[in-house]
Formats: sequence, structure tokens, C-alpha cells
Amino acid sequence: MVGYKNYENTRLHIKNKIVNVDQYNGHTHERKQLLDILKRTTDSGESNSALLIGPPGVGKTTLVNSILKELQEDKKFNSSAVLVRLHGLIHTDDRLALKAITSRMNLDNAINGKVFGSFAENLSFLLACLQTGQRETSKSVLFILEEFDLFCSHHNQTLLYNLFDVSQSAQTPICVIGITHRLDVIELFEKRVKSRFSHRQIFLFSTHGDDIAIPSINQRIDRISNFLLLTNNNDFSSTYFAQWNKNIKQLMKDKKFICSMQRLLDISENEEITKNIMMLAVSKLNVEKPKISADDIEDELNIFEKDDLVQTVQDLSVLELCLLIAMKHHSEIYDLQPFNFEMILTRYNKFINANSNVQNVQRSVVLKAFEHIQNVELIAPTGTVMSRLQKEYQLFKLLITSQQITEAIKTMNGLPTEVIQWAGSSLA
Amino acid sequence: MDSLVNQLKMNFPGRTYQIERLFSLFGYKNEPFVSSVFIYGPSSTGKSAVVGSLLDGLEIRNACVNLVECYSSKVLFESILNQLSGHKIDPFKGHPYAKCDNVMDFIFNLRKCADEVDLNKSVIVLDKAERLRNMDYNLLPAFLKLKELSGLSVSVIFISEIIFEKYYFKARTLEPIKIHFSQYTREELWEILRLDFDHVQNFIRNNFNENFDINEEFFSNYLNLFLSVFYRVCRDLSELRHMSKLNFVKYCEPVFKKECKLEDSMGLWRHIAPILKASLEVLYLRISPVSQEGKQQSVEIKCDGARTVKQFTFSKESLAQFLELPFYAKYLLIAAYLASYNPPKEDKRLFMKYHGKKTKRMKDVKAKNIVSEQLNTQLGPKPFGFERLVAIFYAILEEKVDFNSNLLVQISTLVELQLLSMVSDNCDLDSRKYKCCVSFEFIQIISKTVDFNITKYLVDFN
Amino acid sequence: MSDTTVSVSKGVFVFKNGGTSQHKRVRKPQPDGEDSCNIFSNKLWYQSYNRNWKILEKKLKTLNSNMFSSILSSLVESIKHSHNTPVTEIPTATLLTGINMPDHSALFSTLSREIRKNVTPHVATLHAEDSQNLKYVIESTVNQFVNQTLEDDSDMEDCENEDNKKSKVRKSSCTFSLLQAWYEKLYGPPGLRIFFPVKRKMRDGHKLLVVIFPDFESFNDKIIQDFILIVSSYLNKLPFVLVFGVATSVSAVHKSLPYHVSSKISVQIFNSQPSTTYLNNVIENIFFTDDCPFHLGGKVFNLFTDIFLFYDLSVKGFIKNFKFAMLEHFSFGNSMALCTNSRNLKKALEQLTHEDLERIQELPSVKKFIINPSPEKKSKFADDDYFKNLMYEKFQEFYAYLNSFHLFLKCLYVLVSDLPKSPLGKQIRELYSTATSKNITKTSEFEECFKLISFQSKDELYEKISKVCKILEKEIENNKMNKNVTEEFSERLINYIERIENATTVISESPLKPQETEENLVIGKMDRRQLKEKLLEMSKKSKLMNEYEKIRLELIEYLKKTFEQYLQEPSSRSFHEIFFFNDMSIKKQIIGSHRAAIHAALNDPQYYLQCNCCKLQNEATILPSMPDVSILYKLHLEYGKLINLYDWLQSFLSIVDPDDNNEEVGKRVVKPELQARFTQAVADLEYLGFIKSSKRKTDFVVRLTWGG
Repeated sequence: MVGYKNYENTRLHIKNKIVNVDQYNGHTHERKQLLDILKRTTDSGESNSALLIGPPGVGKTTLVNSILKELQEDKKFNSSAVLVRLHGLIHTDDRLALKAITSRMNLDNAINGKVFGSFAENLSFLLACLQTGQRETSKSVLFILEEFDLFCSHHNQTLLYNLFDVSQSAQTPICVIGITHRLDVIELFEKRVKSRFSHRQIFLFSTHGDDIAIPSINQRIDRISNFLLLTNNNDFSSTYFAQWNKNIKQLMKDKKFICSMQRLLDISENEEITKNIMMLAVSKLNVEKPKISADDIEDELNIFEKDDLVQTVQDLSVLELCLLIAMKHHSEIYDLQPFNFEMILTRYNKFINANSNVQNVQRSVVLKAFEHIQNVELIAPTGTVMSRLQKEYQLFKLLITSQQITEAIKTMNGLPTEVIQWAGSSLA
Repeated sequence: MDSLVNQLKMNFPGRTYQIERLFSLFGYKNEPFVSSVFIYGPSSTGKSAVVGSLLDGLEIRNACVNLVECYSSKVLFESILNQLSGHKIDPFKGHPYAKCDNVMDFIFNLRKCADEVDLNKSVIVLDKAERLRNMDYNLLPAFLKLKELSGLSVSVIFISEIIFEKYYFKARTLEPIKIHFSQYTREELWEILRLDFDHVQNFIRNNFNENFDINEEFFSNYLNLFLSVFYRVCRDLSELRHMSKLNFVKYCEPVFKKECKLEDSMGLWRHIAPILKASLEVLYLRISPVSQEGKQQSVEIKCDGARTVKQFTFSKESLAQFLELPFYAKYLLIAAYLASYNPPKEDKRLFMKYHGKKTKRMKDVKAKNIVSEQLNTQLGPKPFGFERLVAIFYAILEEKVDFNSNLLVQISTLVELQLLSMVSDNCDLDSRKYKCCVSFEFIQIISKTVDFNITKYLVDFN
Repeated sequence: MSDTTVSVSKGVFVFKNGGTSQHKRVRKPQPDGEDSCNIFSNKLWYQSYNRNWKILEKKLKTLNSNMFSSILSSLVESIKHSHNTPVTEIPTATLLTGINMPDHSALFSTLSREIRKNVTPHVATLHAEDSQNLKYVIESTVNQFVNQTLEDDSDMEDCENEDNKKSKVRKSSCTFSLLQAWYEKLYGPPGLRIFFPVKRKMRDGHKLLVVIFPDFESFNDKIIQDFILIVSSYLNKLPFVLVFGVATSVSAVHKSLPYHVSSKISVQIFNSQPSTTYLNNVIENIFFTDDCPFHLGGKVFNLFTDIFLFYDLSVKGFIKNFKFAMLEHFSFGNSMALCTNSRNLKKALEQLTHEDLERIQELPSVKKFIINPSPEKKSKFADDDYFKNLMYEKFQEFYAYLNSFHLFLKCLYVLVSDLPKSPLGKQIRELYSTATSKNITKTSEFEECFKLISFQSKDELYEKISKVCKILEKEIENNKMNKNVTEEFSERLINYIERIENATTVISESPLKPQETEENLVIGKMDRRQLKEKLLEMSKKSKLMNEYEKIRLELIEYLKKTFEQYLQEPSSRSFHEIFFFNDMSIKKQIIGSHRAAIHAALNDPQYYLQCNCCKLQNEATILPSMPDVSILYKLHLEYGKLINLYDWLQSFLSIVDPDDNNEEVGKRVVKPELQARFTQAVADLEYLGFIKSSKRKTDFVVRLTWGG
């Protein structure tokens, strides 16, 4: 039964690694840059502001987390600095943000009862509260703003304005770090905000900043191997441990595996996806399946690559499919003009009358089928939906390409032949 | 653990893949869960059912919310918290576990809740997740990465009939793990419907004759016949289940009446085939027979009669025949239909006794061979003015009636009944614009009742 | 004056809110409380009018309730049983109410009361007009469930909840989760969540939750769809039942519910009876009874039925019209107080003054009656008492006549209604209208009918006659008036029946004998003309007639004769004006032509105001004494599409105070109060929809109509 335990542990071990990845490798240069900025604020009380920009899933947040972890390790950080983390998805307007800041600085009691004329006053008061005499001793504040671009959409960017403003003026030492995946985020700033921002941007790309020489595929692969390799061997039988790592190493060299990884990389650089796929592959481990093979990875990849739209089409009934084909024909004939139910119905009826062995159904039933197609959003109403107008005449546009439809029909089994032929024939 | 999986596999035929996948993600207590899973597939393919029974079976603390009923994010947050915290609502006060109006409050309270009860490895299930797209912009992404935001190991399962592609514009480039619940194949459907056997048998025993016993295989034969008719038109399980139950009673009738033996499948088929065809017409319309208990009461007889009409000879007539309109209202409706489906320039030719000779011009010839998509009856009703309506009304009405308030009242009545709809309601009394909102079949029946040949007056038909 | 307001108001109502509601707007009957302060309340005619109307009203009420119950009982039954078998869809009852049920609100309030009584205390009703968004719908539904039963079940709640019951649940916190909690508190928790398929039979004692949508069409589709989806998601925990009130047809439901929603419900359809049959009920059971002394003459009756059939299938409207006619009739004067049943007749007579009697003598039929007798008698009519006594007798006759009229009309109806393409009409109301307008027995249709009858086979005829006999029996046992006639008639018929029964259809050898005897019997009651024609056709008849045919012949003869005797048109009787109202002049009030009315009102106010200050010589003239609105109206008739306010004002001023017209128009100061009056009047016209301020040109208004 020890073997069973091993799989359990492996799963647990690797899953843990994937889910809460903390140690960060790569991007050493950017990391150092950011770290310095923060340190200067905490230690020598310089105010500052910077943006951390990089495509989604490249590990911006992870980077910042690891840095903060490092900072918090030394004792005097908590005494010298206050860390305020804001998130664009949580703090959807400045009022909330301010509330969060207040509570984070645990100044609630200080603030209660006071009424402030403006946002600025309020913020400055908060900061003032932190000031205790001279520059050195006063606490510095680190603002980490995730999903930074969302803050730009707040009502005339008051929060950003004030933060940057403070960071410019020599009041309380604060450091504002914005994290976003939008490269054009600067463009979102209002003029007054832009002028106050120290145009310090740190770009994070999935290729190594410092040496482009290493192609990113290897880098990706060694990150994966990082996930999959077992590190601490104390809760595995040593033989199993060695054996597992050995065949992971093999896997990493496996041609098939490498090219599938390349495929994935070509689709998207987002590391989350890789993680997900690994996750699924690992979750499959059990007594019957002791090890991960290149095929598993590839299967997962195939599943991931599947075109959902095609799947949706294949889930339709024959009737609904016929309607879809009718729409396809319609939009081929009148190049992508919108259509309404009546048109499709006549087209469909033509087909029905043409070949007798397809049983005919009530108009109302066809209408319901049509509605179902609309319901799974294969078609969408064009313009405004007038509730007054009868459904039959509401104009729709097709949200799926005819290629996808043909694709779906090809791989769909149990279709009556005449339907397939009809789908093939463009003139109908 | 595995026993549970097998149990589920038995309950949900054709869902093996999905069950195993879900189990591999959530099956093991000590292992971390993924932050979010997106489950999608057509309606009634057991999405909610599988997820729900899996989570319950694994005794994972969970909160299931149907987003349809969340007309505000407040409701959503509060019901999640209520369920996670196991908060019982006092029906006389109706206070939720905590008040939260926005994501910030929600996460705050979630953390608070985590101190009281162990939320570690708990799951939030959001059913009808497509609704999230129409709610606040930050909800969908927030739930997608709730784990990261809240710092709690709470994972979220989205259940939706819409594929994830349609979420991108709100999802801020987050990719959850996706599990597809594919539509059942015919065999699977057959399997599942067979599970109803006992239920159906009891149903018949309770309502028709007690000592009626059929064996499994009689039922599954029936299902084969049934599917052979219905499968092409409909793959929706709930619909098929509904119809199969209705028709099975009919299928058995000859046996009750001792006309057929149970074995005589041929005779039974001959009996059921037309009925199935007929009931194919009421598919999706859900006109159910009057409840059997009701039948015993004499009062039921009337609407029972109505039932048989609706149930099996269900046709357009029966739809329209229930609408009784005053004589002139009918004519007004017809006039309205003509007005919205004929171009005004044709009126002279159509409605005047002595319109001059219609000279055949080139464009008429062209007009002859316009493709069906350009027919007026296909493009829907056009708005028409009040005078035009009245003019046509008098043109098609033989006898002369004086134009009085009661006529006008009829027009507004028709509008109230949504047979007409007012397009522009400016306060100008004389230039109101209306549209006719009835289908061609409908108007045909109406005009039949006042024996008026409508096709004669429609441009599309001559 | 009453009538004019009616027509005018109608004109307005057409545009304010159309359709069915209009009929409810015609003047309500005075509730009893107000009778005292009613100006007519002390008038004799009004009292008797009121008495009669009260009777009718009571009967109408009972009729309505009966009619409802027949529909509702079946509906309630099915609701009761809806959850007995496990359900996978929401049981949904669709009640097709037809476009003009007497009135919907009453129907549905009765329905919910019925359900409360028989099925469950938990009923919620949602009205379209105040269900704008889903939030509101859910809140009000839950609120109705929770809070209402907090009051109802106060006894079954244990005392520690007492204080809670006072504090109702706040609307904002009314969510379905609350509802669920509440339901579980009442009936204990449901079985644990069972999936696939949801087949939980509702345990006994678990009361249903019924939600009623009285006006389905006017609901917003989206909202209903969402609501149904929600309900279906709770169906395995809460036993819901929906009731849709649909005016048009089932297709309306399918129109507004797409596939994914309609698959959540299973619809049952209930038809309320069509309003034509309802009308027939009303007419036969209420108006065609001799305890309603007031009768509609043929013409008016036709008018009303036409309005019903052609314009609005509104029974309520019909009743209103009837009432109006009645009021019109009585308001003729105290003499009409005589239009009452025989009990109160004497009292009424006593109260009449000399003038009243004279007015009666003015009545055409009475005149005729007076002219006829010998001149020396004529003087007697001046004497009130004599005249009163005479009238008393006459009225007794008239009552007898009315009674027999109704009776025989019914009999005739039975005989002719089901004849091939029924010449006299299928409905009794059609017979009535012909019979009241002219002598029905003289009509060609009548002849035709009896020709047809004379071809009918033995058992057909037998059956018919026996039907007639039944009617007669009923009449005899519960009506003493002119018993002898009825009895005699029925005896004869019965004896005919017997003879028909045992008559053979084979040719009898000696046809002559029995016929002779019958002959004498008949001749006794025949004047010479009839005898002659009888003999004539007998000679025509082939000697070879079987027994049955002979009997049939006789019978028909007899029937014809009796009908001729009793079915004379009312106008042939003297004093008929008292009981029959046949004045077509009310048409213009019943069918209001609103524009004309408004036009008349504004163009010639004197027509309504009856003031002698503004009598018009010709249409065009405008007098300063007229109300401002009508002055402006008449002025604006002269303008084009656009009206310059300033010019308008000037011409207005030139009319209302012509005195300072001498100085030229340009720089005269406008008196503020005049300007105020002007603006007021303009506002009124705008309100009436004749003009509206134009966007295109400043200080211009657009004219919206081209004259009345």
C-alpha cells in the first residue's frame, strides 16, 4: 500500500507547488530594480512611483509577492513602513479605496467623527497621522495597486492624482507601485496625473530581460520541470522518489512533449494555462496510472485546444442543425446579411419538401428550436431588440463561421445523409 | 471515495468522463483545489446535478447560487455568505448573515466568516453564470480569481450553458479549467429514460389501473419507438422525459382496453405511431393533460374536452379559436394586417373597385421574380398610419358603418391585447402609427371566421 | 344633461385609456347612501326606477357568482391536485378569460379567495402595472407570502414569536432564500437535496404556494421568464403553482416564453365561457322575466345587441346600456312609476296627480284607446278616479299579456330554434326582437317555420312538444297569473302527445271518421275565415293521410292559432309605452361620437350650457360671452397648420374687449388678467389635444386636428 501512499503524496506535493508557487526565478534584473525602489522608500524615506507592466500570466503579482516577502523578512520593515495593497477589482471606486487605506493604516478611530471637504484633505490627513516629527522616523507607506488600469477609470482619477501628488511633494515618504497588463496604461492618465507620475515603467516579458539568447521554450520547460520534480524526499520512499524524478527528466527531454509545449506556447504565453494543464495531468495520477507520460500532456492540450463553438454545434439536435445550415446558406448567398426566422423557415421548408424522408414538424416547434439556437448564442439579434416586434421578424446575425459549421458536421456522427449533402451544397 | 464515484456513475449514465474529472480535482480532502472551474454544456445535461451531488457526497462545504435570482450583486453576496456560514434566516426578521453591497464588503465578510467556520477547501457554485456578464464589470473576474483576492482557499465553480469564449470581454484574460458536459447521445438518452421505469409504472398504477404490471423490457421497447420519432427533433432530456411519460400512457391504453396483448408490439406500434406524430407537434409547448385525479370530478369534463383538442389535434386553429373578437374588431385587425404587409402604393390597385388598367411595366416583371427573402410577409410588418387603417377598413367592409367612438375603442383594445402595437405615440391624434403583430396563420383563421379571402388582398400572393 | 356628459366623457376616454375599461367608466349607479342626497330621490318615478334596478342588480350578482364558480371550481380542483404526483415542471394553469369578461379583477379576486378557502392560505397576486423589474416582482411575491400569513396564522405561531409578528419583514430583505426559510419554519425542512430527477412528492400538510398573474399579456416578457426560471430552481423545495390569466389565446404564452423557459412549466388550459353565451344567460334569466316590468322595444333591443356583437363583446356594456335606457324611460315622468309589477301598482296609481294622468292620456296608444269609445264616455276620462280604475283593469290585462307573451315566446323558441337554417333565428333574443317589433305570427319566417315543422317526423315532434309541456308545467307551478290559459294549453298539448305517441304511421282505412269529430271540436273555436281556408286545404289534402300526419296537421293548426292569439306585438296594445321603451333617440348617447361632441361643445357652447347669453345666429360668429376655450377654439379653426401665438392673442383680445380696438394693434398693452385667461385657454386646448407647442418655430403652436 506504500505505493498508493506515494501517488497520493506526489499529487499533493505537486499540486501544492503549482497552486501556491512562491519562489520566483528569472527576471532577476527587473526584480532588483523594483526591490531597490521599494527599499529606497522604506529605508531612506524617498517617495517614488512606478508601473510594473507585463502580459497576463507572466508572473507580475508573483514577482511583487516574492519581493514583499523578502522585505517583510527583516524586522524593522513593519516598524518603518506600512503596506497598503489595493486591487482594481475590489476597490472599484475611490471611496472604497480610501476606506481600505484607512483601515489598513488602522486609523479608523482617528478618522471617525471627522468630516472632510475633499478627498485630498482626507488622504493628506491620513498621511499626516503617520508623520511623527522628523523625516527619518516617520513611517513610509507602500501602495501596491493591482489591476492598475481599472483605477484609471475612477471618477476623474482622484485617487491616482493624490497619490502621485504626494509622491512628488516631500511629505510622507510613499511609494506607489501599479501592476497592470496594459502596455498603453500611461495613455489612460489624465494630463495632471501624468505630469505627476515619475515615468518609471518596468516591463516584464516572458523572455528573459537580460539574455534573449535562451529561447523561451526551454525556460518554460524548466519551469514545468520545477513543478513536476519532487524536491523533499522525506515523505516518499527513496526508490520511488528517484524513479519519479528520473522519468520526469526523461519527459522533459521527450520530443513529443517539447513540441506540444511549443504548440501551447504559440497559442498563448499565459502561464496560468500551462499550470492548469499540468494540474489536470497531475490530478489524473492514481494507482492505475502511476506516472505522467507525454501523451497525457498532449491529451490535455487537445482538450484545451478544442473549439467550443464546434462542440456546441455538435450538441444540437438534427432539426436545430438544419436551421443552422439554412442560416449558413443564407449568409453565404447574401453575404452575411442579417436574417429573420421567416427567411430561415422558408429555406428550411424548401429542404424538407425537397426530400420527403425527413419528417416535417410544426412551425411553432421550429420556432422553439430557433430560440434554442439563439439561447446558446450561436446567433445574436442585430440592433435593438424591440419587445413589441414579433420574434419571427427580429433580425439576427450568425456568430459562427461556416467553416466551423462544416467542421462540426464532418465530425458529427449519426446525421442523416441528406442533411450532410445539404450542408455541403452551397446553392439551396 | 471510489464507491461514491461508482454511485454517481450509476446515477448519471454517460457522465463518466465529467465525474472522474471533477473528482480528480475535488476528490481529495488534503490536496489544494484549483481556484476556478468552468462547467458548460446544453441544458439538462446534469451539470448542476452532478456538481451538487458530488460536492454533497464529498461533504465539501459549498454554496450554490442561481444567478437568475440575483437581480443585484447584494443578493448574490449575501446568499453565498448565508450558505457558507450556515446562517439560518429568521423568517420574521429576514436578516442575512452580513450586509454587503460590493466586492470589498464581500471579501471582508468572507474573511470574517472564515474565522468563525472553517472555509478551507470550500466551494462556491455559481449556476447560470452567463448572467454575471450583465452584472457589475468586476464580478466575473473577481470570482475567477477569488482565491487570490481573498487569500482563502475557496474555489469557484461556474455552471453555464454558454461557452467561455462569450465571457472574454468581461473575463480580463483569465482562463479557468473548463469541463464540457456534452449533449447525450441517443443511447445515453435511452439509458437515462429507462431509469424512470419504476416511477412511470407507479404513475400508471396510481392513475389508471392498479393491477397493471409491465416489465422493464416492454418499457424500453416503447422508448426505442419513442426516440425513433423524437430524437431527430429534440435532444433535450427534460423535454423528452416529459413527452415520453405523456405518450406512454397512450401507448398502454390498448392494453388497458384489452385490445392488445403486451407482447403484440406490432399492434401497439400501429396504435401509437399516429399519436407520436401528433404529439410531435406539441413538443416544447407543454400543454399537459388535465391531472388524472381531476378527471373523476364531473366539473373536469369540460376542460378535459378542451385538453383532448389541445393535446392531440393541436393546430393553429385551436390556438386562434379561443380568441373571440367583435365583428368589427376582426375586420379592423384584418385591415391592420393588410396595411402592414402591403406597400401603400398598391392600395389603390387592391382596394378600389375601378382602378385603371394596370399596365405591365418592366419593373413589375422584375418584381415578379424577387426572391422569397424580400417578400413583405418575410420582412415583417411595416408601420402604417391611422387614416390608412380606417380607409382600408371601410374598403374591405361591405356594409356602411358610421365612424364612432366604439370603433376607435376597438383599435385601442387591439393594442391592449398586443395584436396591434403602437409604433409612434406622439400626441398628434390623427397621425398615430401602428403595426400589426399577428402571424399569417392567425389572420387567415380570423378572416375565415368572417369569410373574407385575405390572400386576394395581399401583394405577396398575387 | 346626464346623457350629454356621457357622450362627451366617452369621447375623452377613447384617447385616455382605450378599450374594455371604457365601459366601466359610464356613470356608476348611486350607492344607497347617496340616494338621500340625490336630487331625484323624492321623485316618484325615480323611486320606482330604483326599486326595479335594485332587483335586477341583485339577480345579476347571483348570476355572476354562479358563472364564475363553474369555471373556478374546476381550476381550483386541478390546482389542489397539481402536486399530488411528483413534478418536474411547474404546474401552470392558464385561464383564458376572453377579451371582455364582466370584469377580470372580480374574477381573480374570487379565484384567490376560492384557493385560500379550499387549497392553501399562501396566494400571491402580481399585477403587470406595478411589476416593472424583477426585484420588485420577487420582493412583492415573497412579501405577500410571508407577511400575509403572519397575520393569518397568528394562532398557530407560538407565543414567543408574538413580538416578531408585529414587526413585518422589510421588503428589501424579501428574497427567495427568506421565503424558503419561512416555508421550512412552517412545515419543517424538506428531504435533503435529491438530484436527478427531482421527483419529491409533496408531503401532506405542505401547503402549496400559488402565484397569480391576472394580466399575462401586459407583463414584460423578460421578467416573467426570469421569474419562472427562479421558481423552477426552487421547485424541489417549494411547491409552487402558477396561474396565468390570458385574454387572447394560449399562443400568447408561447410567444412570450422561449424554449428554455417554457420547458420549465407544464400548462393546463381552462376556458371561461364565451361572452355571447354569458349574454344569453343574462338576457334570458334577468331581462326576459315578467318580474322585470321594464321592457326594451324591438328597435332599441336590436341596437344594443348589435353594439354587443359588432363593437365590443362586453356584457357589462350591454347592462350599462340597458340601465341607461331604463333611466331614460323612467325619467319621462312620474307617470312612468306605473311601470312596476302588479303588487305595487295600486300604490303607484294612488300617488299619481292629475297632471300625470293627463300626460298619460297624451301617450299615443292611450289616445287611440280614448278616441275609440263613444263620445259621451269620453268626458269620463277627465275624472281621475274613473281613469285610475280603468287603468287598473287595463294594466291587469297587460300583465297577463306580458306573462303569456314571454311564456309563448319560450314555447315558440323550443319549437323553431333547431329547425334547418332556423328562419326565426337560433337565439331567443332574436325571436324577442322580431316579436316586439312586429307581429311575429304574420311574418313569412313564421309561416316557413311551421311548414318545416309540418315535415317533421313523429319522434322529433313528440320530443319537441314534450319539451314545451315541461316549460308549461314549470310555469304553472310557480306562477299563478293567467293560470287557466296555460293549463288549457298544456292539457291540449299533453293530449296531443298521447295521441302522437300511439298514432300509427300506416295509412288508416277510414280516415274520415275521427277527423270529422276533431273537426267539430276545432270549428267550435274558429271564425269563418279560418274555417274557410281550413276546408280549402283539407280539400287539397290527399285523402290518403296516415293517422300521425293528421294529428300533426291539427296540432300545427292549433299551435299557430294559439301563438297568433298570444304573440301580438306590444305596440298593438294600449298603454304599451308605459312598459316598453322604444325610443331610438338614445342611440346618439349610447354610441357617442366623441369628436362631434367636443366640437359641438366648443363650437356652440350654448348647446350644452343652455345659457341664453350666447345664442348663435350662424356657426361662424364668436361672442365675447362664450367661454375662453371655445373662443380660442373657434379662432384656431380659422388658422393653418401653424398658429402664431401673438396673432392669436390679438384676435382673442379683439373679441373679449373690443372697446380699445381703436388704437392700432401694434403697441397696445395687454391687460394681465386677459393674458392669463388666454394662456389658460391655450393650455386647455393643448390638454384637449388640439394643439401642441412646436419645436421648429418659437412662439408658434402646431394644430393637430383639421376641425371636428
